[in-house]
This record gives sequence, structure tokens and C-alpha cells, in this order.
Amino acid sequence: MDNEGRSCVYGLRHQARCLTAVIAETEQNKFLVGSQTLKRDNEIHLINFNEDEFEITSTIYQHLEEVWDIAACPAKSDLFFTCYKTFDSISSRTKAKLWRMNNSDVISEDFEKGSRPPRSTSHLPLECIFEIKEDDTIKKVLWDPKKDLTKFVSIHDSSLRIWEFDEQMTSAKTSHTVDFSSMNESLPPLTTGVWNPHQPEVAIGKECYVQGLDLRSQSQTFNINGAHSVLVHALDYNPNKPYQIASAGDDCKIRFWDLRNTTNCLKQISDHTHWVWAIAYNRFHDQLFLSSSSDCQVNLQSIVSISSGAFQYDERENDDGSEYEYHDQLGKPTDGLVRAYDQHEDSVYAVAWSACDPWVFCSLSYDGRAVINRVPKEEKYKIIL
Amino acid sequence: MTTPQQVPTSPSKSSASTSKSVKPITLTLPRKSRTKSHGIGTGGKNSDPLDIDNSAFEAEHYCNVLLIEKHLSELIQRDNDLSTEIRQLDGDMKTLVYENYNKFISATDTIRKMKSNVESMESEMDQLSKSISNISNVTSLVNDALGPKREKIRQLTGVHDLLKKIQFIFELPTRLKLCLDQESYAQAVRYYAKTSRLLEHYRSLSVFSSIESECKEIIDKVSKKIRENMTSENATGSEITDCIVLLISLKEPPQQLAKEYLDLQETVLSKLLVATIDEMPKIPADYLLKSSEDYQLTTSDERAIIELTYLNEKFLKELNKFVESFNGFFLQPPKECRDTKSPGKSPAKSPKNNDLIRYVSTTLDVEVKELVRKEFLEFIGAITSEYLTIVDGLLEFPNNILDFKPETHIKLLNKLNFAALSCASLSSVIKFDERIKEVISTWETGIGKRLFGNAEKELIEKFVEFSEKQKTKVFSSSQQRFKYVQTFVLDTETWLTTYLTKDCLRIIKECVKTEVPMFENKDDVEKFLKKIQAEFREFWYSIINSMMKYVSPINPYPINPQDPPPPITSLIMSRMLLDFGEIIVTQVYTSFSDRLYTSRDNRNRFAIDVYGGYGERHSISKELAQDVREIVGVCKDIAQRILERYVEIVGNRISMNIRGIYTMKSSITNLTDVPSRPTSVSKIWNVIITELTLIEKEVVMLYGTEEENNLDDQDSNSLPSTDQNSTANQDNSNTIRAPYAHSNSSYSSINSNRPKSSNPFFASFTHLTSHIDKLFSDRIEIFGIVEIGKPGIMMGVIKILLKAWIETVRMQTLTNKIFQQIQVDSEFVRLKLWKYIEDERILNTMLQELASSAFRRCAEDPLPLENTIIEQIAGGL
Repeated sequence: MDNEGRSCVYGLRHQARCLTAVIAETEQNKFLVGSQTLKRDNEIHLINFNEDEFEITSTIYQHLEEVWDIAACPAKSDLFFTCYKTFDSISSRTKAKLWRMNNSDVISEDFEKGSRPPRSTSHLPLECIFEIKEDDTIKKVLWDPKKDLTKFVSIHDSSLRIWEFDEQMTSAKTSHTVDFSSMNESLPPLTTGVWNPHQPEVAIGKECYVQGLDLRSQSQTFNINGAHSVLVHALDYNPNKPYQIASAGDDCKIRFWDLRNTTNCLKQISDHTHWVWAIAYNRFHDQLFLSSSSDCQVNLQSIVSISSGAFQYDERENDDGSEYEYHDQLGKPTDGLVRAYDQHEDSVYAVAWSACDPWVFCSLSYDGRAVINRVPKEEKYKIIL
Repeated sequence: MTTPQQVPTSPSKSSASTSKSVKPITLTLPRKSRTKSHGIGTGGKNSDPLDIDNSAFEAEHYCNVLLIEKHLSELIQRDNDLSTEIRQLDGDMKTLVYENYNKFISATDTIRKMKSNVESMESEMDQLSKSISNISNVTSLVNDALGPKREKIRQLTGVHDLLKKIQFIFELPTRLKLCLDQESYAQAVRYYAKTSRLLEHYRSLSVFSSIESECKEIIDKVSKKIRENMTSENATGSEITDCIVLLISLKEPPQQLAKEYLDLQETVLSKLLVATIDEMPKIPADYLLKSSEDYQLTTSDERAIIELTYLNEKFLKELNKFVESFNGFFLQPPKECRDTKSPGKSPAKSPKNNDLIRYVSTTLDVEVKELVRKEFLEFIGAITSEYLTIVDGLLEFPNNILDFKPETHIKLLNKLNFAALSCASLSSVIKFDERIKEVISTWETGIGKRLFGNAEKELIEKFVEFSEKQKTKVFSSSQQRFKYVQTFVLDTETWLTTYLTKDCLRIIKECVKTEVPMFENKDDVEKFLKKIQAEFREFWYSIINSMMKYVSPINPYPINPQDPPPPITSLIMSRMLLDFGEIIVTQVYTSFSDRLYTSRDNRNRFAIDVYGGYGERHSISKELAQDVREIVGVCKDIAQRILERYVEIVGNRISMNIRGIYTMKSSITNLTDVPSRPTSVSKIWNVIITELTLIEKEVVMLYGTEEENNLDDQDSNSLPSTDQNSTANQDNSNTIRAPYAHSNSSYSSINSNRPKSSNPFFASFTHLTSHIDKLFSDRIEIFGIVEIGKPGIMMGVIKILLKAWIETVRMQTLTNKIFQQIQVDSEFVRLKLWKYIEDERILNTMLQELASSAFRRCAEDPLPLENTIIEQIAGGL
């Protein structure tokens, strides 16, 4: 692998702040990026990173409004939600749409382009399945990580809605609304949310709190008061270890919590020098942890001491475990910053692991630069050997 | 060779030298030696016929030689000489004869006397020998006559002895009974112990067996009585020990005895301990005087000494005695049987009761012994621990450590030390001495902990109090507030220094100085100082940590959240830690070193020079220098971190203000008021700038003192050069506005009506240049290392503020009006922040970033305001 240590850069030519891996796609390293400009039509870029060729191909879809959030369907690779903003002279509204990409087009185009890094000049249309307009302050849409396509959750400025798809997934209706607004109008909005992969629970970030919400009873499951000193910006559940959640915020810190006892955090990382905007556990090896910040850095952390790998080294996900032969633990991975990636020159608002290769991740900075990196070889061998 | 002058002098005296004829005859020989040679004669060596003193002298030959060799005058001379010599020799001889004549006469007299005495001796000797032979004959006769009688006497004596013994045995029951009646059980036991073996031996004889059984009966009674005594309520420890000695002598089963003994002593000792503790407070103050101690006890403070002495006397001695005897009875390997005394000897000669202890011992099986030992050690361990708890209680430090008088404690410790030395058996069994040593070393550590812990506690309390005051107290003027803060810093620092160098040092010094044997040993003192040193080091770390902890955020918030200390506390702490690092630590250590280390050991002291923060030199003993460097380093490091924390708090607090000021909502309300363009700077920015000014004042107050002069210079520089300043502004505003300018033109195709910007060249490279700028400008760390000093701190705060502004703007969708408002605000901020910042490049870069972000987030077509208008509005019209 000559490409070890190299990274692959893709420019959007637009500003952008949202990125997601195409979770349902397990054959190729695919990511979705939504652009964010006010003066031109926006685009959704489907980035495909080919590891063998070490190059990026992309497909561009039209998306009129600026994209504030994007959420790929965990079960079907062609479905995704975007949250977008529309505005007129006096106000702006945020809405969400469920989109379908037309895959056949992409494939045919790849054939045509051949080996040259293709960049489609013509923007393909997206098929809009339905739109959520309620509230006009929608921030984020969450899919059920258990790949159950009956429900989804939307997070608004001051409320959370649980939706139910109809059978054909052509529309959805609100089944429950959890209201967070209070009498105090100036109360800051919800900032983020994440769906627990182990149980029907959603964690939301608001001001300095992190709160858990049971989706069945709509009751609060936990509340970390003052998880961060300023604002909570990002949350992620440990995919392999129940009851563990990571949070990050404007105090430049990343904290890990055991939800059964939140009086103290399990671990704290403070390697960033400005607000942390996005964090992500590796779906397969949860000792690998990504964070991105407006200090223009992406940090790859090893948090093996609190990961599922700490004691059950051989218990892994099946789809991943079969690929490797485990020997005795040679160089044991240790906690700490594995690598800081500083290829970005603007705030990095999003970061995501590839759904296909557990060692590939993508980060996106505001200037529209998506960078694909891989976990350094030594760290990788430390984990798999 | 023979000169004519020499020859005539030599001839007659041919000298004692063995010269041959050829040789000249010297006449220099003294007369006396010649006489001597004449007298002894033959002593000559070689025969020389020409030597007048030689035995082989031949007169004839000599004469001939003379006649041949000498002149006449010489011969005459020689003749004269010779005749004088002869005359002289004659005189000499006469004297000799006269002298010896007297001796001859007395010798003759003596011989005559002897002859007359010896004659009678022979007959007397004969008579003597005759008498002696006579005597020897008579003696043998007498001996023969007495022989048979003597044999008889010897036999009779043997019989008598035996009879006596038997008599003793026959009388034994009565004696024992008597003893029993008189309650002199020890005597009874002694008697029995002497005879029991005998009785056992002759048990086959009916007479003896009956006596034995009788004795046994009585002895059983005796032993029962002894047991009774032993188990009685009032039995003291030594009484019990005596009883046990007796019982052992009576060959009672040792295992059971050991157990009984242990049980009894356990209760007695426990009771004793309790009683002693009860009595302790009631001891009269002159108790010690009675026990002839030379301490002068006056204050109640020294009661502890009295109590300890009492405790040791009453309890520890007993305990030690018990341990000694128990150990001797049951646990030591059996000594050779020394208790086999011949029964015939009179009881008066048997060892005294006390001595008996030494002779008594038992044999236990190894297993049983181990079992007994275990139980014994268990009890001893427990009761010793109780004792030590009391001792610990006596060694408690007073609540106010400054009232502490180390002398008392050291005396106590000394007593303990002695007690440990005197309780040899206790030491050997449960390492009592080591436990005492442990107590002493705990005390040594404790004193350091208390002294320094107190300082730390008070320091933090001061900070807490200060923080509370800051929240509640209302100051009439900022001047007053600053004065208050400054006095607080100074007072606290002075207090700490005095506390450490005066109070703490005094007490430690007293400890070392007290003239008590324990501290006479130099090693012990060194050990003590080492402990103090370690504690002191610990203290600094602990102070630093508590400060750090006090200001650091708590996440998540605790259930009962306390208000966080005001940010100025962190600033003060940071300043103080810096002072610690620069001066105070070194100062304090220097005085410690001077007072504790110099006086001790001048020879081994290698002073090491440590340079203070201001370059001044301190010489500090070798042992401490390492610590000083380390602590100074840590202080500075933590000062830096606390300062960063301050910047973070303040920066975040200020940034909170701009959250949400440029939202659409706020603009809608504004829209109704004013038509198209902003007329003034957003109110919030005035607030922010005021806050920044306050922060600056705080910072100057704590950090700016040294720069005061420079500050004045700067002011004087900047004030007159307003023109220059404005031109600089001009330049800067160009660079800042550049992005607006070309952004405009880059979109001019869309809005062709718009007048083209004044800088078309720049315009076409908007994106590129801003990116290239970014490439070359250093990455700006927002929450990063803050340089100590006013400019660094202000820069830190401003960076946080501006970055937050940029990020906030990026989250908004702006109308044209808000965009213009941002333009105005940004200019305002630039004008206001100018003076706080040394390196305006960062400010410019960030404001530029803000401008481009705002431009991109403007939903309408951005209509940037003219520079002049912006300046007008920002400058307050």
C-alpha cells in the first residue's frame, strides 16, 4: 500500500457543513455531502471512494435549498433525508425532505466516464418522496439505527417528533410530539440528537445538558446536567457497548459517560482548541473515535480503555470479525491521540466513518473540502492483531 | 722519619701503641694508663721488647737501642725521666700495700670466728633428726588406733542423713498441713517439690505410698487454695504470676495452666488499663515529683507527660512483667532442670520466691506451644494497640497548630522511647519497640501535615471568602474594588510567607532544638527533617492542586451546584502562583534552609545557588534545591493553566452576548423601526466593549504593574500620532474590506446595476486570495496557550470573542441590513480593540474571516456600506 498516510481530497466548490456515510452501502465507501450556499442552487454530492485506485468519484444531485443536515437511511442506500432552509425577505424556515437517488443513472455514468475521475457536470435530479413542513424549525432527522423502517425522529428547535411511515414509505405522520419549549421564549433551542442503537431511546443535546428520552413512553431516561460548560454540540452512542455515550461541545472537550451513573464522566479529552462540532465512534472498533472542530482539525483518538475492546478483545461484529485472524495481542493499543489531521483550512463541521471499510473516514470543512483518510497502519495492526 | 727533635722525647716511653722500632716512641701517654698496664702486666697485645710497659720488655736491649740511637743530651733527659717515674711508682706501690693491709686483718678475724661456731653444730643436727623419727613413729601408732572408729563415724553420719530425710518425709504431711493452715502455700509447694520425686521413686514401699497419698491430698488442697487465690477478684498481676509459678512447680498440666494464666491476666490487665485510664485525669500534678523526676511541671499542657508516666508505671510495667513471665514459663525452650534441689537441704536455703520464676519452666508440645503462642500474641497485640491508642490520644495536636508546643510532645516521645527500651520482653515478643518507632515517625509526619495543611486550608478559605465577597460586596467605585483586590493579593501572599517562615519554621526549629536524647542522634534529626521536607513538598503540590480544582469547571454540575467563583479569582490565583514561582517559594525555602540546615551540619552542607525570578541569588542547601526547582516549575506551569482557564471563562462569558443577535427575528423588529440601513452600532457591542475594558482593568491591576511605564509610553506614542493612526486604520480597513469589495464585483454579473467596486483587480480573486491568505497565515489557536501579561491575556479573550462571532454568523441567514450592521459592528470592534492588541494581524485576519462569512451568509444581495459611512457610524457619528 503506497498510499499509506495519504489522504484523498474532494472539493465541492460550495460551502458545506453536513456529511453522512451511506450506511446501507457496505460494498463501497460512499458518503453524502450537502452544500450550503445562499446565492446558487445547492447540490448533494454522492462521493465514492475507491480504495484500490485511491481515487474519488462522485455523482451530483440537484438540491435547490441549502442543506443543513443530511441523514442516510440505514437500510436502503438510495434513501436519505435532508434538512434544508428556505427564506424570504423576512424569515427563514427549515424543513426536511426524504429523497431517493436514482442508482441506475450513477452506474451508467460511471461506465461512460471510464478511468478519469468523473465529475458529472450535469446535475441529476432527486426524487422527492415527501416533505416535512411542521414547525419550520426542523434541525435534524434521525433514522432508527436498527434498520427498522417504520419510524423516524425529527428534532426541532424546541420539540422532538416521532413519526411513523406508512406502508409504502411514501408519507409519514407524527405519532408523538415531545415539547421542550417552556414559558421562557429565549430558551436556547435543541442543538443535536442521536438515536441509541441498543434500545429505543434518543439522546438530545440542549444548552449544557444531555437528556435521554424513551421513545415508547416519551419519558426522560437520563439527564446529564452540565455535561459541558457552554453548549453541547454533538452526541454519539457507543455502537458496541450499551450505556455509553460521548458528548462534545463549545468548551472544546469531549466527554464519555456511563448512562447508569452520570455523576462523573468516564473520560475527558481536550485536544481541540475550539468548539467541537462532530464526533463519531467507529462502528466496528469502538476504541477508534473521531472528532472535528472549528479549530480546523480532525482528531483520531484511541479510547481503548473504555471501549468494548478493553476486555472482550475477540468479541466483535460478525461481518467484520470473519475477515481477520486474531493472534495474540501483540502491541496493545493505548489511549491517546492517534493522529491529528490538519488538511482542512476552515472549520470542520462534520466527520463520518465509512459504512463499508472500518478504517476509512471522511471529514468536511466549511470551505467545501471533503477529505478521506484512513486509520494509520500501525494503529490498525494494533487493533486487529 | 725520625727527626732529631722527636727522637729524644720518645725513647723511654715507647708508648702503648704497637709501633715497631722504626716507629718513634711517643711520650704523650698519661701516667695513669701506664700504672694500669704495669698492674695488669700481661694484658699487652704484641710483645715488643722496646715497650717499657710490655711484659716482653728487655731492659738490656732497650738500653742498647737508646745508647745507639740517642744523643747524649737525650739520654740524660731520658735518665732523668726514668728516675722520676721510678720514684713515682714506688710511692704508688706503697699506698696500695697500705690500703690492702687493713682488709687482710679483718678477713683473718672473721675466719677465726667461724671456726669457733661450727664446732657445736654437728651434734645439734643429730639430735634433731632423732626427735623427728620419734614423732613419726608415734603418729602412725595413733592413726592405726583410730582407723576403725573413723569408719564407723562415717557410716553413722550417712545413717543420720538418711534418717533426717525420712524424718522430713514422715513429717511432711504435718508440715504441709501446717503450711496449709498458715497459708504459706509457697513453702508447702517448695517442700513438696523437693520430695515428690523421692516419694514417687519409693512408692512401692507401703510407708511411702501412704505418705505420698497423704501429701497429695494436702497438696491438692493447697493447689485448690492457690487456684482460689489466683482466681479471686482482687488478685493482682504479680500475685497471679506467683500462683502460677507454684502451680507449675506442682506439675499441673502446662497447657491448661497457660490458658488459665492467659485468661486471668487478660482480665486483670484489661481491668488495669481501664482503671488506669480512669485514674489518669485524676492524677495529682505532683505525681511526677514523687517519682523523683526532674521535670518542672507547671502548665496543664504538660499533664500529658504526667499521664504517660503514670500509664507506663501502672500498666506498661505490669504488661511487660506478664509477657516476660509467660514467655519464660511456657514459650521458651526448657532450661536444664535447676529445680531439683536435694530435699535434705534446709528450706531456708532454697531460693526466694522471686528467684523461683527463673527456675520454673514447662515443656509443651510444639503444636500446643504454637497454639498457646498464637493466643498469647493475639491478646498482647490487642492490648498493646489499646495502649498505643491512648498514647496517640496524648500526642494529639492542638486545634490551633500555632499553640502547639513541640517540647511537650518530644518529651512524651522520648518517654515512649525509653519505655520501649525498658520493655525488652515486650519488644522481643511483639516488636513493641518498632511500634513505638512507628508512633514516633507518624508523629513526625503528622506535625508537617498539620502545619502545612493548616496553611493550605486557610489559603483556600481566604479565596472562598474573597469569591463570596466579590459576588455580594458592592463597591462604590472601581478604584475601590481594585484596591480591595490588590490588598487581598498582597495580604494573602504576606500572610502565607509569614506563616511559613515564622510560625511553621519556629515550631519545626523547636522540635529540632529541644535537647532530648531522641534528637541527639544526628541521623534521627536528619530523618525528621527529611520527613518535614517531604511534607512541605507535598504541601506546595496540594496548594497548587486545590487552587486548580477550585477554579476548574465541574462537569456535570453537581446536584447542589455552588456558584462558580468569579473569574477574577482565577486571575488572582494565577498571579499568586506566578509570585510563588518567582519569589515566594524560593524565599521560603531559603529561610528554611538557613534556619534548619545551616546550624546542623556545616561540614556537609553544600549550598546551591538558586536564582529567583528576578535574577537574585539564593543559596539553598543541597537537600532542598531540587525541591525548589521542581516546585517553582510547577507553580509557573499551573499559573499558566489557571490563566488560560481565566481567559476561557471570560471569553466564553463575553461570547455569550453575541449568541443570537443577528437572527432574522431580531432584524424583523428592527426593520419596522428603521428603513434601510443601520444607524448605530449594535447595543450589545457597547456592553461587550465595556466588559472588555473591565477585564482589561482587572488584568492590568494584577499583571500590568511592571508595564505601567511602558503603557504610558505607548499612550504617549499613540496619542499624538492620531493622524498616523488613522492612516494605519485606513490601510487596515482596506485590507479588511477587501473581501466585501471583491465579493461584490464577483457577483456583479448578477447585479449589473451595482456600481463596480473601487478595487476591481482584487475582486476577481476573491476566493483564491482568501484561501491563499489562509494558507500563509498561521493557524490561530483559539483556546490555546495564553502568554502571561496583559497583551497576551487580552489577545486570548479577544480571539475567543471573534471566533465565536464568526461561528455565530455562519449559523445565521442574514438580510442585507444585518449584513451592514455586521459591517458597522466589525469596524466598531476594530476601533475599540485596537489598543488591546499588540499584533493586529490576528485581529485583521479574523475580522476578514468574519466579513467573508457574513457576506456568504447574506441571503439578499449584499450591499456593503461605503467606508466613510461605516466609519461615521462606528465612530459614533
